[in-house]
Amino acid sequence: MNIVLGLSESADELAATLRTTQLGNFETFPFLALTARDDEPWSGVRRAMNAAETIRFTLKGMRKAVFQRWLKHGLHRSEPVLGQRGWTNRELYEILTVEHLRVKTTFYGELGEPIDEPGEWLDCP
Amino acid sequence: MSLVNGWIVPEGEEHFDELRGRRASVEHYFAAPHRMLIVRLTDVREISEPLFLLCTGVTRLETAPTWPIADLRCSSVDASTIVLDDKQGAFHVACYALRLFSLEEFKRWLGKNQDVINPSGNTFQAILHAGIEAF
Repeated sequence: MNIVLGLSESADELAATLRTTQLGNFETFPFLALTARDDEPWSGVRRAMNAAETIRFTLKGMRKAVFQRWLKHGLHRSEPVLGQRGWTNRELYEILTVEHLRVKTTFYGELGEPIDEPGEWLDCP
Repeated sequence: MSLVNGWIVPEGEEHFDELRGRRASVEHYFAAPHRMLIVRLTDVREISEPLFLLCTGVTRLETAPTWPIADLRCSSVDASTIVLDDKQGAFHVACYALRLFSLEEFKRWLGKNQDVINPSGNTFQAILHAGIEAF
């Protein structure tokens, strides 16, 4: 089982493409098959990240400057709250900073093309 | 209709007969992060369960603020989209996943975010102003 993350419309778009071009299942939130019945939204995302065979993360629509501003505010230190902005940033931060998640993640760019991992996004100026 | 980890997985056209006659009120729709629609389900005389319908991954949303449920049904389903209709209520939603919650289940699922069901809560205001930007 694979999961697709990113801003919601971009994740849907990538998932739809992957479903037609690659073998396997590609789930988006709420990751029906990889969560537990009593998972809260963020614990469900983390469980799905850990259990997924691969993670596909699209950066389409996201901006490095916005991510770094979010990081500067220290918002990566807390769990995201449903409905608050920054949820996708928190997912990206989790992947970039947790080794076993990072190594199984493929990142995609604005055109849906695979790109290098955006490790430099963590380097705040 | 089956359940996967509490989420409803329709297997074709299915009717939600247990919701017939309930009053539906759109509690909130928030675009970020997962395009979720929360509908509160109430009765005129007494509160019965379930109390909330949650649709996530919404890609099409047509609904009145409130309506009496006549025949809420799943009219189609494929690998990525469930279409929910209630013609009398002019309710038409295409989404990725849906779930019915009792009040207690919903509170448990929300975890720390229970203010979402309390209109006076700060989180509700944050949600009202949430956009689709990542920050």
